[in-house]
Amino acid sequence: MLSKLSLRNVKRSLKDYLIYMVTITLSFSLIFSFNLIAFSRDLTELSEHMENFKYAILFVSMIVIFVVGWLINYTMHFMFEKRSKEFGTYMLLGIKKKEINKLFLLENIFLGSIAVVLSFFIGTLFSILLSAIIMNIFEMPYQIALSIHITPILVSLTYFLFIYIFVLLRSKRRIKKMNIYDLLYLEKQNEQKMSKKTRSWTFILASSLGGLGLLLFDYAFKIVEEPTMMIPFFLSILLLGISIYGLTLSIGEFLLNYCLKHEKIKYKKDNLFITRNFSAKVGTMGITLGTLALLSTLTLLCLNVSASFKDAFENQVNTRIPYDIVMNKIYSETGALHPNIQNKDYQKKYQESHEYIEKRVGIKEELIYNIYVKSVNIDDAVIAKKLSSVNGKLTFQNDLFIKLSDYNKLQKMLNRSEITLNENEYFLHYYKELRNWFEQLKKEDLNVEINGKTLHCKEMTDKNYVSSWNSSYYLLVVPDEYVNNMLIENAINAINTEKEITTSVVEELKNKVGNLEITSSINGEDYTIAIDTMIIRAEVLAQNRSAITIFSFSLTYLALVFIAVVGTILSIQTLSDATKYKYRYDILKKLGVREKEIDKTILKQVTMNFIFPIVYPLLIAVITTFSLNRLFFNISSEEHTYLYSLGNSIFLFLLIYGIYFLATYIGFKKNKSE
Amino acid sequence: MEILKIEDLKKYYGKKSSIITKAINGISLEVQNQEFVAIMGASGSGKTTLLNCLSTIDTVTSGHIYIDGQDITELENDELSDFRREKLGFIFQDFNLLDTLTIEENIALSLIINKTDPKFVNNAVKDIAGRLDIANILKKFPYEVSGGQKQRCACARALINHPKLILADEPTGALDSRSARLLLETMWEMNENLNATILMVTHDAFSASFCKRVLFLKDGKIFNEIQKGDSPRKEFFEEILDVLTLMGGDLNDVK
Ligand SMILES: Nc1ncnc2c1ncn2[C@@H]1O[C@H](COP(=O)(O)OP(=O)(O)OP(=O)(O)O)[C@@H](O)[C@H]1O
Ligand SMILES: [Mg+2]
Repeated sequence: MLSKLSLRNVKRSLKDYLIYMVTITLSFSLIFSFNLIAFSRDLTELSEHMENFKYAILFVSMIVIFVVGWLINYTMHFMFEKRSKEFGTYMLLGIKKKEINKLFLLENIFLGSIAVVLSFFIGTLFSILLSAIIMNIFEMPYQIALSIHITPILVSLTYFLFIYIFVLLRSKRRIKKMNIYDLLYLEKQNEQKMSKKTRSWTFILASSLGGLGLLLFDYAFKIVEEPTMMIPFFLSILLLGISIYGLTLSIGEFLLNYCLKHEKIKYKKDNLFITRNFSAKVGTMGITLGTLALLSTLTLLCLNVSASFKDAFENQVNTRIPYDIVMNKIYSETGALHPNIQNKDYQKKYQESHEYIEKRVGIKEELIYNIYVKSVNIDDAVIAKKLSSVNGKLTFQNDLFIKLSDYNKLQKMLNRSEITLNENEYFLHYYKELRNWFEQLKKEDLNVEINGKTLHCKEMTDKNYVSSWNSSYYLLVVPDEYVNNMLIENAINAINTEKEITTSVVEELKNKVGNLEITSSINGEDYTIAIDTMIIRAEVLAQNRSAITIFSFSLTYLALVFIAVVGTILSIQTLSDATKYKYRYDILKKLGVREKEIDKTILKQVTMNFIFPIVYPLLIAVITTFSLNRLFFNISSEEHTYLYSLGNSIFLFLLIYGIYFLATYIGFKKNKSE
Repeated sequence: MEILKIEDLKKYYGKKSSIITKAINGISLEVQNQEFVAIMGASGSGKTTLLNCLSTIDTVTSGHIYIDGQDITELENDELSDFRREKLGFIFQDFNLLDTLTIEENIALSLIINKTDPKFVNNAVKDIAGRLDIANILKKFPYEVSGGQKQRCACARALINHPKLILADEPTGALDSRSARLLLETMWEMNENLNATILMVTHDAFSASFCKRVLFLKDGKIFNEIQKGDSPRKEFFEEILDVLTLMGGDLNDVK
């Protein structure tokens, strides 16, 4: 009898249940997709080599479970609130709490099971989508592999069970604690005012803790090399967390009070209506809003750190090889290398490989260029000598030259800007690590004499240096005519291919070319050196799929989960408000407020709901970026890369957030007009 | 001059297929400027429906309603909003207070909506609240005050604008006799001194006796109508009771 009644009620509040089902299904899907990724072959293979990685995954899944569990608990509470009046009426009619609890339990188990089944499909889709996105971000070749393993399914099921038991126990306690009055009037209790004093103190304390947290955070990255940095680091995180909650709880009231104090603001337009509604919201769900703010902060931090790491990783690869393939033609006029390099065998192999590349992946553009030396006599190498004199530790062999036209073509292949040189100028491009020493050299130290003419260094830079251009740490770019009397040190072919180079193509190419070992004699002794005959970008990328990648990967994943949770909760909240507000808007309408004005008010309200939890997080994200930059400064591609990373993260965050906002706003308006 | 004129008004509830309730079944009526009219009738006789049609928050099935010479059945949505805001004041049967606003702010709401200069708002609120004896609960929220106090708040909100036509649905329904008298006297005063026209639905003959004219509704039609004229209130009160007895039984029994 009761279940029949309750079923009818469920039917009537189908829309609320839809929100509930969607949330739970999405939550489960997130967990399941995470497990699918975590247990996928790629990652498990990786984790064999890295013990730490296992712990990282474990840690991440703990966070995910915790956050998603919270989301489910929140939704459950939300449904409970929706039906409080119904339950209250049952109790008023004399139905026992135990029975109501049983009803609620059965209902949730039923709905939960449906959600679990659905989430296996959606979760699989998610994991494919997520992997594709993330792999794409990290430029990894990704093939959609739909391998269903039993492990992730079992693990996910365990998680679900765990979360559900916890959540159901909580709602049981909730029902036990309720009395009829609370149930009947739950909706009406919307004001839990903090006293003025508490509020001010909370505000002041939270702000100063926030400031202190940011300072500590900065300090932690100042001493980033030392192991003790963990202490200020975790302390700063703790302080920031507390301050986020404190500010969220107090600022709504603060705003309200400010508005109420100033009649000019208070009685203007819809200010009063909006601030009141808003402060009521903060009053009832301050903790939830605080958690949302915390999650937003974490999302932004994760995205930011991940973007910086990604940049560092990309920079590492780009410095090494920005072209798809670089092949060494092994051709030299200097004779510095042993004569057997220029053997016919290799030339044949080179030719074959080249044809193979053309056939297999197509050649979009290529450039064969020479690297020159003035003479085999190292005494002629002015720059090398100067460098060796400032830096006693390293000896530099010979100065290497490249034609301006070749250099510009190489730059053009990378979509980088070309340079121009006057007749008596040259351009110096060097590897970042040499910066200190090059900066010690004076302008006239850098003058180079070629063909009896003195060339001045027009400019020198370490920006975008590519180490696969040649085998040295710096390169002198000279106008074309100057190389006429020089000797060719080496000939190199830089290739950009038409198609993407997959792992299998890499294998095949490697087999084709093989390794070239040459014997070189230094001081009368013979050394065997393996020469890089071919460098393939795809291979370097794959090899560098190191801890950094995994780390960024986890962070990106966490960020996506967090923002999904934040967006979902805000949507649920706002949409559930829509029903409550419908009544309020009706009153406004009855009092003669135009439809358009009401729409404006709605927009303001939804915007406020969405903006409020992210203002402080955005502030934190911006400030912490400067601290984080201390860590990334040396490995990032450019001086201001951290600002790009920050911009990118904020953009991505706002993009996803914006989608949630839009969907919510549309839903809200639809609800109003129903 | 008449401020309100109703011509053969009909309002039917229910869709074509289901049972139709003829909540109002052909009412014609004129209310002059500065009149204070009571509408009485059994529960379900169509009083609220009539008021809702007059207050433009519900559409009519057929007929015309002219307020201040304007046919409100032909106004567009936005025009209706403007019309309500500028000309009408309501006191709803279920108060319609915003639970997030304090009593004070609820009262100020119609001033805010009318874009009154914020400087004048506070004094206006205090003045009307004082008259209705709710000055001491201004800082409270609706769920913290009694039903009667809520009702007086709703009245204050309707009166504060000095609207041309005030429509009140059982404004004294939840009040004790002292508060009811306070409210009625305020309304009477507004009617006398501020030239407000008032149309009030009531169950209670005492309240009705404050009016100048009483209309009796039955099954969606006007059943009877009496004028106070120059007779004292006590006499008018008895007259009303007579009509009610004639209509059949004590009104409260019908509920
Ligand atoms: N939205 C609606 N849909 C269908 N029927 C309605 C609706 N509102 C009112 N009615 C019906 O119209 C008739 C008149 O209702 P109305 O609310 O006008 O009565 P009333 O005179 O105000 O009664 P009371 O004194 O109890 O407030 C009633 O029979 C009622 O059931
Ligand atoms: Mg009624």
